[in-house]
Amino acid sequence: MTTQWFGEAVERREDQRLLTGAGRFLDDAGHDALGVAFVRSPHAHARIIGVDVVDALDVDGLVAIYTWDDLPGRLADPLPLLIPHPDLTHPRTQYALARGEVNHVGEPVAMVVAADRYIAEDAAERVVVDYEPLPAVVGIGSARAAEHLVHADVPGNVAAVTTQELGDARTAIAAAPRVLEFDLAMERSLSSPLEGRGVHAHWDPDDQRLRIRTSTQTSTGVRAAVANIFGLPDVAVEVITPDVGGGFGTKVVHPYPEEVLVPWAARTLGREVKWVEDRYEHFVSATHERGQEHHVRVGFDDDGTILGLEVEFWHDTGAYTPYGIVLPIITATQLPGPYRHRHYRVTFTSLYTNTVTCTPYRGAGRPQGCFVMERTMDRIAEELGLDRAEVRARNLIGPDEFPYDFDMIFQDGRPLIYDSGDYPAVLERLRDLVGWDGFGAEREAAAAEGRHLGIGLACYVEGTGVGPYEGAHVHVETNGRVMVATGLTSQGQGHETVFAQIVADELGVDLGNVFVTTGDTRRFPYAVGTYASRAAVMSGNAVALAARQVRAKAIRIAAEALEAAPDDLDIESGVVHVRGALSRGIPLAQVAVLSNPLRYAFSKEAQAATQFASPPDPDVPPVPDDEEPGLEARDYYSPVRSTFASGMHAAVVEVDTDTGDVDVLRYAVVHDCGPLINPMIVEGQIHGGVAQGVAGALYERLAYDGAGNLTNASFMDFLMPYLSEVPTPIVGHLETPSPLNPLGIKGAGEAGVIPGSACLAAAIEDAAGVRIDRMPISPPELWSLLGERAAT
Amino acid sequence: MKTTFPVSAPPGAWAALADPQRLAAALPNCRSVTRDADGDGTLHVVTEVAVASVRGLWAGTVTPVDADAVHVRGSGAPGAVDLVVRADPERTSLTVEGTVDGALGTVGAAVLAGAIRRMAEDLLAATEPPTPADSRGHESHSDQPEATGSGPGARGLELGAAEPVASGTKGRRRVARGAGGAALVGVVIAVVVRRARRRAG
Repeated sequence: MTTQWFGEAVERREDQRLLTGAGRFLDDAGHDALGVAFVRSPHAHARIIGVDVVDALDVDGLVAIYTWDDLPGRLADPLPLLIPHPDLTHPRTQYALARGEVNHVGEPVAMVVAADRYIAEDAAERVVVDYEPLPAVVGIGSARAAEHLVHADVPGNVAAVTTQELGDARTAIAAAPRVLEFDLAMERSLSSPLEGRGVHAHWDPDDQRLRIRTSTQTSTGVRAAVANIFGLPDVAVEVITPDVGGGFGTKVVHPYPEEVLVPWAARTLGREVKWVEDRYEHFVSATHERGQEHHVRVGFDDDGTILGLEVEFWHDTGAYTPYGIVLPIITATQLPGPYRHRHYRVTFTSLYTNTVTCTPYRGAGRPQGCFVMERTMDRIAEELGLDRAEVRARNLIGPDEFPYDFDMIFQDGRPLIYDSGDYPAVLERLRDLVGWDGFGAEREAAAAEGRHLGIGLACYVEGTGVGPYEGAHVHVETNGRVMVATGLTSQGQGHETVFAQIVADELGVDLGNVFVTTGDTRRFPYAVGTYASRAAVMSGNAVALAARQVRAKAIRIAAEALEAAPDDLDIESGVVHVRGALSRGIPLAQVAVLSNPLRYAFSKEAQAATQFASPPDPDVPPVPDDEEPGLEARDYYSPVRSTFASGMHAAVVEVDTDTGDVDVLRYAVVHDCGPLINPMIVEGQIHGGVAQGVAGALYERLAYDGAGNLTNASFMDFLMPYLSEVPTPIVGHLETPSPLNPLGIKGAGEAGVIPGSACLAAAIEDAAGVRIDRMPISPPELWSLLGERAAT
Repeated sequence: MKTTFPVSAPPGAWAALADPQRLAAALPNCRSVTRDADGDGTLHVVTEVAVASVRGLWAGTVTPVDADAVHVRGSGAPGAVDLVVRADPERTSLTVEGTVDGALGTVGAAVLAGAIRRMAEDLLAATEPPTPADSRGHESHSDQPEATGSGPGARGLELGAAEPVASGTKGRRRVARGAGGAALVGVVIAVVVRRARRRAG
């Protein structure tokens, strides 16, 4: 082959569009559409007594106001429980519009449709909802106390209780020479993508089709739900994901109420209807994550080897459980990290609260699990007076121990078995990158200047590329263009680039000739979605498999045309030729013409495929029995189980003991996601992940008051860090292939965020000399911890 | 749809609305209100309607059901309406129940209910004289429901009553109630005209 695209840091093909303002986002569609505003609950928990819209009738341009009473058929049922689980004994999902009761501030009560969004907002302001407030359950403590219930028919506010165990942890801990027991907690945050959610729908009365554009991470998921709820044939519902300005997990929820309400309104009114989420709505109606409290018991020997680990934790699931118990399952199963565990027991309780529902946000339960495991490692090192990296090294799974079976069930319902990795090599590399071994001197030098420096590290293993499957369609057109479609969606990750790189290699064509479409059910109707760091693994392998089929077919057809043996043919720069003889070749475009026997030529080139163009074999039909017309193929990749990427972060911080301010001086990342399709894109993912990790450790949190009001629901009050607060990480890569998929790749999307809180907590603890057992931490909180230490 | 709401009518309002001419005058953008010549008390109403963004010409009939209720049916560009409007015996509340199809059926039940309630209030209020100075005689007329009940408005309802109207106090009372029921027609129709009237006002 002339060029190998796989592994090249080629520029992102979508950036020309996205960086010049030429992207087509949800709000770029439907300029003439009716606008929608929602009347949302101002109460965390209340009964709805009545809805009075009389004053809204005076607003010129009002089209309709809908409440639950208007919703027909299945639209009046609770929204789907997306991921049921046997242990989820009390699942609850919301109604598209509240039915008699609201369970969090922001829950939609009425939908106002008007000539445009401005008018809809004006009318929504005049809708008077009569509420009877009920006691609100806010926070894990309040949920566990269960003095009040979120759902009257859910005792103790408990949605689910699950236990998984490897070996016999309690016996192992009882027999361990040393035991530590402590609590660790992490607070709530949210995805806050640059672009919020949004839905645009159009009912085409001529085609009898519902066309939906939605800023989602799963267009096929939305389509299935809408078709089912509306009782429409699947083919009558088209879901298109336009350019999406970030998702980070929250947009995988489907259907959000708005995703069924807007299409329903469009069909009911016979008009285009559009709703675009504003920032306040994102804070109070797009899903949250991360709130968990953990109790840890760990038994270990005098060398720091873990003998038994028992963790019980409480997960705040918010008002509803549409996403089941996936988040706490991920915490439970990813908590063990890269360490050799013989005895591990984990129990979690998923609790309802009168706050926004929780579903995965980049990292998805792993930041909490990593925080627990890594803080535990630091406690063991402290207890034994050992180097923190050394304690970790003693517990790492060795490179010769794969596949490593934890005898547990992962979030995809399949065995938790690590497929490959080289954790000691990652740790060695990280120590080098951050300067771990020489840090003592650095700390002393700073101390001499009155500065307080600290270092910390954190390790993780991330299950990526979860099934069940993804598919792809690769089509070489008669003009030579290679059209690729895969069903999962893009939120800016660079899928158009990396999938094109894979196809260009597999087919032997120029990258510029490959055009990738994602997230359009018209182009590829079977898909799952973009989440769990799965797109490259799942669709990457699917496009490779489909391209391989196209390649084989091209060679079959060309062999006949060239009167050569298929084994002697190769494809380079879009030309199928006899190996070693470029002149004896035929362009793929012409192969595409020949692949489709014609009655009618549509161009000069196409004449070659017509019935009198060449003498036919009289005994073979124009399309042989085992062939299909067209140079195209469809294929699917379905993994037996997830593939596990890994990495380790280290940070050097300076703590201002007068103010509690934390400055991240250095941040190093070593990352192993197998072979890199595009190193630049992987580094971009790591940079972005680190930014969100630092944000989650030092800045971002959701501040609910006791009544369930979100008191910082705006970018004025929610501290998203500026670029100036985010360190540029030093990044190193290892490339341990996965044995599970044809390309040997692993996911990279979420990794950067996972160890942020664990790593920075360790570094701050090291610098400030105070125990950090909950994150995030603000300067006032650190300052008061420093004060407590001074007082004792 | 079904909605119930309290009403409070000024003195004589129910009777005033029983008069097709006065009803037509009280309905903004009303084209006509006529009574069947041979009729069963049915009124034929043609009017422009507007609820939220739904607007257009609507034609329908209003037929007494019994002393407390009328049946309203009709259609037009805004949609088809098939509603029973029933007053409680004390005339302190109205219940409107039935189906609304077409464009009017898409505005949402809360909008329909709100519009009907607002219309009822406005229409009943509209029977009050605009100023004391120019409507003294009118007002005194309205204060005598019996007189109105025996006038043209009531006669049509008498003709259309399911059973012969008895003479005497009992019969008069029934007629008066019937007239009140007929007036509710206007309430329903007014649902759709309120916006236009507001604009005109």
